[in-house]
Amino acid sequence: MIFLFFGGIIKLKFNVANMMYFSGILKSDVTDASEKVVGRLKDILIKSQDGEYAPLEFLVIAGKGGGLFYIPYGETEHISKSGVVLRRVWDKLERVTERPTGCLSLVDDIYDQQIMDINGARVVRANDLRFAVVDDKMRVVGIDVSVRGLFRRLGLLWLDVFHLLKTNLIDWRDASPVRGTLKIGALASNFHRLHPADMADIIEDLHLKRGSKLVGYLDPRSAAKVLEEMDEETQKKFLKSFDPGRIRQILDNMSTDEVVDLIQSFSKSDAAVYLSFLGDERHQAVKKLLAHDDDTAGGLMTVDYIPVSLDLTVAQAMEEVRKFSARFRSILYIYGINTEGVFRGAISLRRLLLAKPEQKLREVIKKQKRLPTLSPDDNLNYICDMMTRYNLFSVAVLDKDHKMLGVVTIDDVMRTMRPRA
Amino acid sequence: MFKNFWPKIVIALGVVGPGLIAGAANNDAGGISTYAYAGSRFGYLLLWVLTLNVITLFVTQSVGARLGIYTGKGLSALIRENFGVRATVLALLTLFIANTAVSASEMAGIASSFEIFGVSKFITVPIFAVLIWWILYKGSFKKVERFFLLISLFFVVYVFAAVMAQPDWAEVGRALTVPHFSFGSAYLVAFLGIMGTTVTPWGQFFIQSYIVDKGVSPKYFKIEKWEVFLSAFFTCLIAAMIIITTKNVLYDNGIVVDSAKSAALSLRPILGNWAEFLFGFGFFCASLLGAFILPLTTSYTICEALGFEYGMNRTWKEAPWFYGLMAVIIGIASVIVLLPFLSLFHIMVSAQVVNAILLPVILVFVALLMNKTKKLGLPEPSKFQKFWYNLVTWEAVVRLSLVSLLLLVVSIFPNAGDHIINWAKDILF
Repeated sequence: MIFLFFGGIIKLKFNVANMMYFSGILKSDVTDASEKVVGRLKDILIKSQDGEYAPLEFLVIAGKGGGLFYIPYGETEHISKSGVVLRRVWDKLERVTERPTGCLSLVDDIYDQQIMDINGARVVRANDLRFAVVDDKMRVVGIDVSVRGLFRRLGLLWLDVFHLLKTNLIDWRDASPVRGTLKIGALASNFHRLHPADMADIIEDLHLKRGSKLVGYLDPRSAAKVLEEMDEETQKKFLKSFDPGRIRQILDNMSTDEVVDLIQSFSKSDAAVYLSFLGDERHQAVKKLLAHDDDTAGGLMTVDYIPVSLDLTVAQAMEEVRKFSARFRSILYIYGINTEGVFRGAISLRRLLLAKPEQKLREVIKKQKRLPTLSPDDNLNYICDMMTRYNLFSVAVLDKDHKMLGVVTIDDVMRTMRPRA
Repeated sequence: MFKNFWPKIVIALGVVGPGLIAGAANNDAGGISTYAYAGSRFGYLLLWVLTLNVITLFVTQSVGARLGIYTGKGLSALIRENFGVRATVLALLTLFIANTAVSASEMAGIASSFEIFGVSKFITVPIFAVLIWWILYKGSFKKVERFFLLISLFFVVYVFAAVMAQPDWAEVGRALTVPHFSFGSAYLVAFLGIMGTTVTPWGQFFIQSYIVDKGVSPKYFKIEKWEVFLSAFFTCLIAAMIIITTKNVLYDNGIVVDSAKSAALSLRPILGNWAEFLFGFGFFCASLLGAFILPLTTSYTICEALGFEYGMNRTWKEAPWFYGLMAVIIGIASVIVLLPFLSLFHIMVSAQVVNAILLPVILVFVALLMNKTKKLGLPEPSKFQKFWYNLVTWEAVVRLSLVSLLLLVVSIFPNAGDHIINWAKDILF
């Protein structure tokens, strides 16, 4: 859908007569002002900048008598399917024999390479490139990723008698070459706009080497989120490809139960190595969770919850939420405990919002006696039954002395049912 | 002195394990049939080809591993990025035809394992075609993969069968090292079949994407090379054992294998009355494994090179080419197997011959790529290594092309072989 949409935009904005494909002009003859054939078009160099259509900068011409020449695009009179015509005679042209720096080569860096399509959240291959005049300059406006583009390259378009094949253009500004000299920073800034789950999809498409490079350019928090979206096997492969400092950063930013799942999937010796990357507090929490079976409340629960004293005011409790919110995946309730860590009750964010700021938590919190809770050995079936029956989004897990151990959220339960999603 | 002993053993076992499994799994139903045919028809006469195959397989696979480790890209992606669209289409078309042929051979394997027990192919093939596509589509294949892989280890039994047959090992040694050649078309078919089932186009693509997926870092290249070597060695070892067994059990008694049932006979001395059942079961699992892997990897490779969406986590709507291609391959393979005038056994052996004839195309790409060290960012190999890699790869290209050509000539002019020999004699003497 997105592509039809872009096709529409391109048609509206540009003069259709001025449009052409790279495959149509590549290797065509270059004629100078005296109508003498001086060489063939071998490549085109562009300057790429974030958020704009890349203007053509230099034509790379294989001279008739041999040698490569870089001619500024301004020297062209006319460029079309029938060939390139230069404005001046060959001898008078400004021509460079050294490759100009800071340019991307269409042939080496874009053509046939893998392209990240940010809008479609996928990796595709550039089958052809579309040029058009925008703001008085000839520019690359779209990347053809369609089968039609392939057929055009092969010179087989005539086979498509019934016009079954559709052109599928990606807007140049939404695409980033995966390889090449394009600044990775710019690439990652675009990449950033995606949802972590979509980022994970793209990264998995790219294979390990380039994928892990891309993850490497994300900030630790986004990198951790992307990793959380991958399945365990892929997570492991990616983690192993990073250096220890990076691993530490990422593990620090992953939620505790994801770390637990991950460490559980490692062999004993590997698990010990990765445990040692964790900070002291985290280390203890993870070790405790590791002791429980996978599909019991103890194994499912997270320790990323907000415990507060009942003596706090509502305003103070809100302050706690602010403090933790960046670190936790989800916050639905905050939990009241006494000084020994015994569970005293829970309050939803909604109730907290509606309560008066100066009220004491003790007055507004739902008391422990009226709340269903879990013990660490409760199994998955029991948890599902209970959460459905009482319409709960999350449940506290208590030990036999009613000390709070963690929280099972609806997300944790869903994950066991659809592990691949 | 012993301090470093145990860790080394552990690493060694870690390498031998996967190598052994890969080696055993390389010998699918088509391979077993081809070796059994070769052994029962020509005795030891083709053993020397296996010696060459170990070298060819090891070198081409380690070149593939090298390309994978240093570029992090699959073979089809490298071809596309370095040789353009036309070359890519040529390579993919080659792969598609070869792999569809192998898929047909796997389907034939499934059908013939049931035929041992008297179930017609017209019942088994349609059922399994639908089942395989459904499981691939649902993405639940990974769960069963290891199980089948383990079962296909069954064919290691041939090692024991060969020893039990008490062959003349000196004779075996001679047959392994002294080349023998003949111009009969049956010999040429068996020759190509043996080559085509060990060194395959799909194996070349597979090793590279396997390495890329595993994310092996360059510093482990040496270990990876050992794994590749062991898998090549075990592949050919088991092949040799099958030939030795069938020579002693069948060839010496004048039986030529022409079906899975008669191939199972070769295991009678070791397994007794269980031979047919166990052989059939192992045959079935090995075929089924291949029947899953081939459509999947073929479609994956084609989609990656042409830029279509792919991957098991996509839906039919997101990746129609990916699932569509798998369906097409399974469909064509099933239709070939169901053709009433082709015997299942013929399909299995011919598929390997098709592979051998097409393999040079892929090997030429591999050879060209491995010499592009600078452009691909590969470390420069030593002069000797470079020479050795090139020698082995191009030798395989030439050998395969010559024998394929010869087979073509001999099938058109049955007497061409005699003419060539006479002509050679005239020149030499």
